[in-house]
Formats: sequence, structure tokens, C-alpha cells
Amino acid sequence: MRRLRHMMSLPEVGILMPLVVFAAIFQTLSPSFLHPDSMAAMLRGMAFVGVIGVGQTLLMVAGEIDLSVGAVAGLSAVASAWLMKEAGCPVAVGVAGGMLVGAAMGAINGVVTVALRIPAFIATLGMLYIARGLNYLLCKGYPVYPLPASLKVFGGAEPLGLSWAFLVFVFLVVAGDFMLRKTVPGRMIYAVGGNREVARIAGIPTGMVKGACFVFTGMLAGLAGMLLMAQINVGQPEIGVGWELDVIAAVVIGGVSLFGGVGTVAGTFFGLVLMQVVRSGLVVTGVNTHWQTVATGVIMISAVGIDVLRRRWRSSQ
Amino acid sequence: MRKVCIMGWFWFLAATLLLGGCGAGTSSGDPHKRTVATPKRICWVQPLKGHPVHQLTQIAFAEGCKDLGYRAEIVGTDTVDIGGTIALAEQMLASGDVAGMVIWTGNPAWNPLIERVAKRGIPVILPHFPVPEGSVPGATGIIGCDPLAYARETAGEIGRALGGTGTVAITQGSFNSTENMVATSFTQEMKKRYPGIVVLDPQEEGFDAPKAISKAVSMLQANQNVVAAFSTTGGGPTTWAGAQKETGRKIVAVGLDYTRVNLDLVKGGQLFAVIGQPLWEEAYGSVGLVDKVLKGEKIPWWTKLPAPFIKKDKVDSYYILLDKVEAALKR
Repeated sequence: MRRLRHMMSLPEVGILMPLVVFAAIFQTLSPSFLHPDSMAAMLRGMAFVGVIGVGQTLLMVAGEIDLSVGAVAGLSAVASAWLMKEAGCPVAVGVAGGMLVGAAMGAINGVVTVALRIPAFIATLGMLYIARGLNYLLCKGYPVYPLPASLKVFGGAEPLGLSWAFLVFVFLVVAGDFMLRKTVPGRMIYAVGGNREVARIAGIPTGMVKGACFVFTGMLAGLAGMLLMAQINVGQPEIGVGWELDVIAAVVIGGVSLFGGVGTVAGTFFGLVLMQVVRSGLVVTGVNTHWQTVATGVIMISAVGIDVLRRRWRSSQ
Repeated sequence: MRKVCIMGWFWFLAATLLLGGCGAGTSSGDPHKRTVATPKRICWVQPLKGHPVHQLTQIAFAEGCKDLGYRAEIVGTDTVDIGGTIALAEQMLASGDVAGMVIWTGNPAWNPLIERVAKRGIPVILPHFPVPEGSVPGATGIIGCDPLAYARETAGEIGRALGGTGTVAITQGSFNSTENMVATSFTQEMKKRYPGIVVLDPQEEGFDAPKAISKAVSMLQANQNVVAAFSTTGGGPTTWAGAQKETGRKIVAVGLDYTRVNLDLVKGGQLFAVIGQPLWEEAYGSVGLVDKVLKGEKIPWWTKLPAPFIKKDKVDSYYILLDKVEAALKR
């Protein structure tokens, strides 16, 4: 009983339960669902949103949110592609440029939110439009193409049967989760998100912590955009459209509180897996295409509902 | 004080960007020329005006205006904001010097505006969308290909390539009237001409590449007998090329639009063919139709244009067209 209670107290359990249930249902209905190729495809597909999810988790645990991540991903990808194709820069410079653009957008978000105290919801919503507009100004709405051959080789490679994007994502999940749970900066993020005033009195530079989380999230958004750019081998201006909602959904499903101070990167990982399992499972099991969208929403609410019930059960013990 | 300073710089930056934006406007009319001679103005009304395909049509329209001596005015919003675009079009109309209007729509939400424009005696041409005659009061005519015809042709080509047996998957960018019509016509034609071929129900692939590829992969894995795919949208070629790569399966895939990316996929053998919707021709040709009406000539309701089925052996001429578009874009 004690072991069960301990297991139930793990924040990731809340999301693992529906994940296992849904995977079992889909596998029963369609035996090809958990085929290694199918699983590899699912994992590859979630890598891009996942990379941003790591940054968004830290940011939301710190009590802030970034709605501009999708637009920043698109801008970074197009900026990087533009540097490589139009400015003739080497791939490394293009990639560094894209990362810098992401970090700069994150830094602006941080300054506007922390220094000017404009709510992150509004500041990053504004940045969403700014980044999207700059993206179109840079490429005039046209895909930047063709890109250097080495980028195509990188994007098309399948290390361990997966993709570089997915391996980068896994590395970030492991590193991010370790950082958040086991290191001083990680504890600072929890403290700032949990109670900013107490954290400030304890001597934590709350503004710096939040600002760093914004920069990190922006940088990861840029990285995600460039990883997709490498995979499809085009600096497509539409990269990242709608990603912000997927990222926030995955992070919240993964158990991160919208009010800060609670959540883990591992939880976000499982949140993403759940979303991907639901999306792919509904297709594989032949659910009517219009019902798929409805079912996705219902299943997401159910997943969070199960987690809420688990937390209530835990606190009642 | 520091905050006031930061705020001050923020607003200064915002104002500079705005002013810069005004200076860098893309209005096709040259104000200096306007004082010398004022050619008649034709408006191209189109939401989501930054979309690459839409930009191609805008360039073609501007070229058509230049060739026939009209002033081109591009009117539209950056998003799929019908209300916002209608408001902009009405502003243009209020300026009083619009000689013709070309509106990128097949949506009845535009009918009241079209009627108002027509009441002023201004010809209204609708490119691309095959709306039936009489369904849009006030519209002068439409120009574009027949989606039912290219859907039927695609069914024939895929059926022939498969030898009359197998399963075909269909994906749509979204469920809109044109794509629905294409998917239905394709399915019916396939059933009629190749009864041994099974066509799956259409799935929505959306417009986000990773999600679309992931969905196509799921479709391939759920249906091991899928040997061909038809996408009714311009992102479809990337979707199905990606899905083939992910699953290691080779299928006969067909999608829409002759973008450089799509042509490269055809050339590289990842795609069987793309259907070349006559985007350039319909936008360019719409100016010619307005011109004819203004000169008192009669035009048919539907000026039909062909939508070629572009296989590997035909891609070169489309690269030349794209070079032209890209050069115009750089200018």
C-alpha cells in the first residue's frame, strides 16, 4: 500500500495511466499501432514541438508563458535559411544566426515582461505578431529554397532509426529534467514560480531567472524551427504556425501548473507522447476524420481530469 | 526613471518600425506618375495575402495590369480574415477610382460586397473558384481550371499507373468546398473506371508539415495495401514524400501546385506528378477579362483553363515560370 501511495505521488503517473490505457485500446483495435516503425514515426513527429516544450516547461514552472514560440520558430528557420541561401553564409553561421534570432526574441520577451511588467500573455502575443511579420518581411512570404546539401543530409539522416531532431529532443528532456530537479538553477525556477515574493526575500534574482527562461525558450523555439527546416529542406515561412497551442497543451497535460511552481520536463515528455498517441491512434483505428478532432479534445480533457482525480486522491490519503 | 527611459525607447522603436514600414510599402502605384497620368485602377482582393501561392497570383495580376496599362492595387489582410479584407475592399471602393475588381473567393460571405461593387457598374471577376453561374449575384465571370476535370484526369493517371488494382489514400488540406469536390470526383471516377481500386475516405492533413507527415504515416501503417495517394493541397507533395521516407514504402503519390519544392520532388522521383493549377494564367487572365468588359465586349461566365498533369518529363518549363516569378518578387 505504501509503495502504491509512493507511486501515485509521482507527478508523471497521472499522465502515464491514460497513456497506457489509450495505447492499449489503440493496439487492441489496430495491431499495427505499436509496430516499431509506427512508434518511430510517432516519436519523430513530436520532436519539433517537444524541443520547444522543454523550454516552455521551465518557463511555465517559473510562472510565465510564451505564446510566441511558433512564430519565433518560423522566423528563426527563415532567418537561418536566408543567411545560408541569400547571404551565402556557411551552414554553421546560418544555424548560429537562427539560434541568435530565437534567443533575441526570447530576450525581448523577457525584458518586456520582467522589466516593463507587461503580462507575459500580452507581451508574447505581441511578439507572435512581430515575429510572424518579420518572417514574411524577410522572405516575402516565399519559401527559402534550395538549402545547402549538407543540411539535407542532416535532416534526412536516421540515427538509430529515428531522427537527429528526436535525439536532440531526448537529450534536452534528460538534461532539462535533471536541471530542474537536481540543480540550484532548477530549484530557483521552482521557487520563483511557487512564490515570487518569498523567492526574492530568499535572495533569488527572480527577474534574472525568468529572463533566462524566456531566452532559453526562444532559443529552443529557434532550434525547433531549424530542425524542421533541415528535415523538409525548405525555409518555409509557415513553419511553427499553431505550435504554441500544441506546446502549451502538452505541457499542461504533462502536469505543469498554469500558475507556476509545479511540473517536470519528464511530465511534458509524456504529455507530448499522449498527444501523439491519440492523434496517430485515431487515424490508425479508422475513426472518422471529423470525429478525430472532437475525440482529441475530449481525450485531452479526460487525461488532465484523471490527473486531477489522482492528485485529489493523494491529498486525501 | 529607468523604467520611463526603457518605455521611451520601446515606443521610439515601435514608432520607427511603423514609419519604416510605411516607407517600405509595396503599393504598385507610383505617386509621382499619378500626377502625370492616372491609369485606371484594378483591385486584386485576397485574404492571406502573404501566402506564397497568393503572392504568385498577385505578381501575375500585377504583370497583367502592367501589360494592359492598368494600375494594380493589392488589397488584403495577412490572415484568413474575410471581414477585414471586405472592409479594406470597401475602403478602396469608396475612393471612387476603381475600374474593376478581381476577388479571390468562392465563399458566399463575399456576395453582398460583390453585389455592391456590381451596382456601381464595376466588373467583378472571380478567379480560381468554380462557382456556378447565377450563384454570385453581380459577378461578371469566373476564370480558372475545372477541378472536377483534373480530379478525373488524376484518377485516370493513378489508375493506369497501378494497373487497375490497389488502394488509394486521399488527404485534403482542409475540408472546404473545392477540395471536397475534388476528392469526391476523384473517388467517383476511380470507382467508375477502375472498380478494382479501393479509395479510402479523405483525411485532413492540415498545413503543419510534421503533423501532416505523421498522419500520412499512420494511414500507410494502418492500411498496408495503400499503393497510391492523392493530396488535394499544395503541401501534399511534402506530406507524401515525407511519409514514404518515414515508412520506407514507395507509392504513386500525386499532389497539387508547381512550387519549386514540389517540382524537385517530381524530378527526384519521390512524387509521381503534381497538378499544375493555372494560378499564373488565371490571375493574369483576370485583367484581360476586366479589360474586355470595360471595352464593352462580352465574356463567358467561365473562362476555363487547363490544369496540366506534370510528370517528370514536363517539369522544366515550370522551373522557367518560377524563375520569372522569383525575379519579379526580387524586383
